Parts: sequence; structure tokens; C-alpha cells
Amino acid sequence: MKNYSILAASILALSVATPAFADDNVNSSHVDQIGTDISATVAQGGAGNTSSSTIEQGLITAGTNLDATVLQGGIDTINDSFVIQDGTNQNAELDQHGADGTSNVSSITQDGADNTVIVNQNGTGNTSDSTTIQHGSGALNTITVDQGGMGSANTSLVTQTGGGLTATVTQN
Amino acid sequence: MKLHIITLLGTLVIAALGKAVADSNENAASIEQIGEGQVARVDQQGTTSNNRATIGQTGIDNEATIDQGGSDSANRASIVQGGMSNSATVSQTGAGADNESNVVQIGSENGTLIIQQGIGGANLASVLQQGSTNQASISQNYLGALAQQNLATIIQDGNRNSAEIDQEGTGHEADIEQTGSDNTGKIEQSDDNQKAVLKQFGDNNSWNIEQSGSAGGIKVEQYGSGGGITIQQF
Repeated sequence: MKNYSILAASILALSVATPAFADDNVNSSHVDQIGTDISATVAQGGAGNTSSSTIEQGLITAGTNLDATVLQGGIDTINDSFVIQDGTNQNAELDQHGADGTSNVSSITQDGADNTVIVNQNGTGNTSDSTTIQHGSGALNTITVDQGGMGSANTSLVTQTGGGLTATVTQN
Repeated sequence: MKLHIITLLGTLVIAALGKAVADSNENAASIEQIGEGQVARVDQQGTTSNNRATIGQTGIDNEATIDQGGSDSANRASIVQGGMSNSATVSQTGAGADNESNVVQIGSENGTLIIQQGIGGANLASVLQQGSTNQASISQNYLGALAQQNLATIIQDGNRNSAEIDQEGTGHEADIEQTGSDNTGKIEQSDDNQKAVLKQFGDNNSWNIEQSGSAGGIKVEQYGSGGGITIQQF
């Protein structure tokens, strides 16, 4: 039953996470996964688009080896990304690029141990907001946020609880 | 497939980079950590940027570092630490930058280092430490020809405290206030408008003030045993 659920969720994820690059559209993606050795990748782009991505991994039953990757870009777009992970050895990587008034919003929440978050928000004239939260006990959690671009407004909020915590925010 | 997606995204970005935009950034970063063995770093650079960085840590063995630079930027750094064995370092550089640093440490075995450098900017720094075995150092250097305002304040409350302020440049002010035992204070100021106020209340205090160049001014208040002396004015 569990394998069947994972298979169904994976098929659903693959079908929803198909890359969308048409212009002036609304892109929406929602991935929900449970289990072990899970990976989800969402790519959204295009000019004048509103792109929204949500990835949920291990929420019903905490998982192991969770991997979430989100790529969002475009010109004069609105990019929203939400990643929620619960388990051990989690990896979330977000890359939001854009230009000319693009709005990037990222929210990543991880609960567990040995978690890694990498956020890259770059582009000219962008507004980028990043919120990352990690909770874990005795965990080796790492958060790296890189925001930049000429004429951009960058905001980053990092919250960590646990042990062996490392947070690095670079804004240029 | 993934490479194809990245290539498409990169093409979109590159196509838009040709448009003219203002070379000014608004950067705000906030890190909050609760736990043990924490490391927090904020690095903010860029020309004519408004950089705001805040780090809050509670626990043991915490390390906080804020590095802000860029010419003509307004840099604001704030670090608040509670617990034990905390380390805070703020480095603010950049020509024409207005730098302001505030560090508050409550607990024991705390150390703070603030370095502010830049030509033609204003440097404001303050450190408040409450607990035991605290050490604070503020260094404000300026070797250029433009006017610069420097202010530095260190307040310590506890035992075996040590504070040091080193200023070089114009328009100085420095304040050290220590309460507790085994305190050591030091203020060194170089050319132009120096002003130093050193207050120590407690036991085994030792103070050292050196000033140089024109203007000047010294005020020392001390209550308790021990004491100290070294004042040099040129």
C-alpha cells in the first residue's frame, strides 16, 4: 500500500511538474511526496508569468533522503515557491532568476536532521524575499542564501533551532 | 532535461540584463538561531546600497559574523547573543559609507570585535556586555583626507572585563564604562577632535588613554580599589 502511494504520488508529481515556459500565463505546480529517496524538480519560466510551486515531502510520515529542486525565472514575472520537508537528510535547492521587476518569494521549512537549504535569488531590478526555517535536535543543518543583482531589493529571514547550525546570507 | 531548463532560464535572464537600471540595492538579512555550536554569517556588498543585517543567537558556542561593504552605502549591523562562549565580529568598510554597529551580549565568555573603516563616512559603534569574562574591541580607522565622524561606546557589566577602543581619523568620541572587578580599559585616539570618557566602578581597574593631535579632552571617573594610570596627550 505504501509503495502504491509513493508510486501514485511520484506519477502525479511528474505530471504536474512539467516545465512551463509560455508567456503571460499562470503556472501552478503542487508536488506531494512521502517515503524514502524522494526527489522532485519543478521548473517554471516565461515572460510576464505568475508562477507558483509547492513541494511537500514527508509530511504524513517523516521521510529519508528528500530532495527538492525549484527553478523559476523570467522577465517581469511573479515567482512563488514553497517547500516543506520533514525527515532526515533533506536537501532543498531553490533558484529564482529574473529581470525587470520580477518578484521572487521563497519559503522553505525543514523539520529534522542533516538538512541543507540553498537559495539563489538573482537578477536585475528584482524584489526577492526568502524565508527559511529549520528545526531539529542534534542536527547538522545548513542554510545558504545568495541574493543579488543591480537595483534589487533583497530580504532574507533565517530561523534555526537545534545543534551544529550554520547559516550564511550573502547579498550583493 | 535539467540542463535544457537551466539554459532556457539563463537565456531569459541574459536577454533582460541589457536594460538600464539603478545601481542601488536594498538588502535586509535576519538570522535567528537557538541551539549549540551555531554559526551565522551575513555578507552584504554593493554600491550605494542600504544594508541591514541582524543576527540573534541563544545557546552555547555561538559565532556571529557580519561583513558589510560597498562605497556610498548605509550599513547597519546588529548582533544580539545570549548564553555562553559567544563570539561576535562586525566588519564595515567602503568609501563614503555610513556604518553603524550595535552588539549586545548577555552571558559569560563573550567576545566582540568591531572594525569600521572607510573614507569620508561616519562610524558609530556600541557594545553592551553583561556577564563575566567579557572582552570587547572597537577599531575605527581612517587615513584619508575627508571629514569623518567616529563614535564608539562600550559598556560592560561583570567580572574580568576588558575593553579597547582604537580610533584613527577625525571627529572622535569614545566612551568606556565598566562595572565589576578586574576591569581593564583602553582608549587610543589619533589626530583631530578627540574626546574620551572612561568610567570604571569596581576593583582592580586599570585604564589607559592616549590622545594625539589637536583638540582633545579627557574625563576619567573611577570608584573602587586598584586603579590604574596612563594618560598621554600630545
